[in-house]
Amino acid sequence: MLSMSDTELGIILLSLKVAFFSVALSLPVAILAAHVLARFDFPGKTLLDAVIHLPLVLPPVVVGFALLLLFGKHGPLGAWLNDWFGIVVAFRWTGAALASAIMGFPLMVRAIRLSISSIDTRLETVARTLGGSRTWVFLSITLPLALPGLITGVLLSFARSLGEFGATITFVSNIPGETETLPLAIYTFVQSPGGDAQAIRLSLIAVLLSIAALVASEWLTRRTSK
Amino acid sequence: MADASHFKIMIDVDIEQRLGTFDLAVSFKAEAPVVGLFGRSGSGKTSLVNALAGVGGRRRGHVIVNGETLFDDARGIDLPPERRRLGYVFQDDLLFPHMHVEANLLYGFRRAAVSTRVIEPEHVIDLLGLGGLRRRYPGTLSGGERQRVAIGRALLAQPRLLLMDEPLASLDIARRDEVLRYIELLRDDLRIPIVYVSHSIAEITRLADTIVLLSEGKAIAVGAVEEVMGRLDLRPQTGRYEAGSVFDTTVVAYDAKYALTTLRFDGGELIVPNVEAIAGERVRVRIRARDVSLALHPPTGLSIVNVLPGTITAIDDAGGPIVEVQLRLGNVSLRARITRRSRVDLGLAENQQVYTLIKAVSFDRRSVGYA
Repeated sequence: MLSMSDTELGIILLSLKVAFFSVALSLPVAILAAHVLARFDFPGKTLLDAVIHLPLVLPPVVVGFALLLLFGKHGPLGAWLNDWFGIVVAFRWTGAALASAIMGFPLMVRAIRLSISSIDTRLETVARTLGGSRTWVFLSITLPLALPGLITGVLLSFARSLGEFGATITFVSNIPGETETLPLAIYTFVQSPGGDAQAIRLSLIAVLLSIAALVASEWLTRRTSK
Repeated sequence: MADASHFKIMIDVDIEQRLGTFDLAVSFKAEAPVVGLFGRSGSGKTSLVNALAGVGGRRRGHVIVNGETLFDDARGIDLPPERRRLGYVFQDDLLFPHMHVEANLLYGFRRAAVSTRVIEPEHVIDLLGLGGLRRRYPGTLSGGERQRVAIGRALLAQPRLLLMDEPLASLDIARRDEVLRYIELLRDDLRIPIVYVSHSIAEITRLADTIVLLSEGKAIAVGAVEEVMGRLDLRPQTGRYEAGSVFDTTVVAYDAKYALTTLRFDGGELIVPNVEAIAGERVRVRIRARDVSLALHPPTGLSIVNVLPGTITAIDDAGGPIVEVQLRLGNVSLRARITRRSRVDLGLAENQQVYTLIKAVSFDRRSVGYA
């Protein structure tokens, strides 16, 4: 129980890698979306809001299937990514990261949007009258003040990514060493005869990881709110 | 006012804006070191200041400051707030909570073009007494300290003028006087023009040279403070203004034994208590009309120390028990409020020579300030 096998270590490292890149991929887009939703009114805002929240309410399998259609080797976006950047996401760990990013996106946007909405807009106005351009004011005032929301958003989306199952298995399948993240590995052991012990070990590891992430975020939030 | 010709703003504003059910349609020109925007709450003061600063929605018309067009919808000019160089000080200090005092102060300074940097950080820190606060965070400061930092921050962005929107309104009475003194200090030391917005007559008369009276989104009067505030036809907008007169004087002597200061102006000399000023300094005084009495002959055996000869220029007799008399002392105009019976008993009439009696104790700290 105390020592991990190479296979287990590989699964954990893959899961962390997928979660890390999924957060890194979605964070800039989520900040932009949250800022637009929190600060601007425009026609179609409700629709945009709904689209962003879609992964939260759709069955994950549907999201995975949609990704497969769009980003598969012959899907419109998949072909484009392959032709221009030589990036293949279907049945790769990068695809798992993409699926996680999309599933965690609404959680991240919600947390950041809430944080930006709570900032007094007059602080931004003052910064403008002091000579700050729109971009600079966003970087020097809005973003630092929204930091607690950013941390919460990152944590929620990271945790969501560690637990992502349905969209991932539909989009990139369950390939050991490439797309078999923690939940997928647990699923595999549960399905195979005599795999219960392994499934329990991995489940406990998942619990430890989650607790570590929660403690880290709590610590960060406390540091920034000083 | 006198000796203030070195710094002045010329504002030419013509703004139309629809704000919900409120229509702003302000048009005026003003030229003075300190322009006061006065009006009751809801008269459009803040909307007007926002129009000057270039924030808060679409509008029509133009804003010209010192000959530079900041906004003109007909010519397609609309400078963004960061390029207008107007130091906006809000009612709430709005310090950036995640930066310490020094970072707040330097926020605008760092964005200002090097060639425009004439107001130095150390000088402002010194002037506003912020030296001990540099590393403190806004959350740990008192209200007065916060507003001083906010003013310093606006100044260091090297503005062509300061826009102050009720800067004392969120402070308690004791702090107001403290911050007001700092505002007077920086106006005199840095010679920076100010557009000062307030619904407080005391603040406006102490600071402003020219006043713009706003009512229901319109500028209904522009002129010298005492002239506008004294107009009877504007009383519905100015409220039951404690009618009086405002003029500048020079300190000539201080009597330490009795703590009395002698002030000289064109119409003579005044003796007042509690003025912390040294000889040669200019001081602005405000004399309420009800503190001025009239006599036909120089009185004797009297406790009133200020007795000055003057000429009656007008008498406002609305038929009630109180009559207001307009006087001229040298080039200064003074108002006196007396009963109608006194007016009849003394037989007062225009162009008559009389003696004005002003009690020294009627001057308080609120009615005497640095000019």
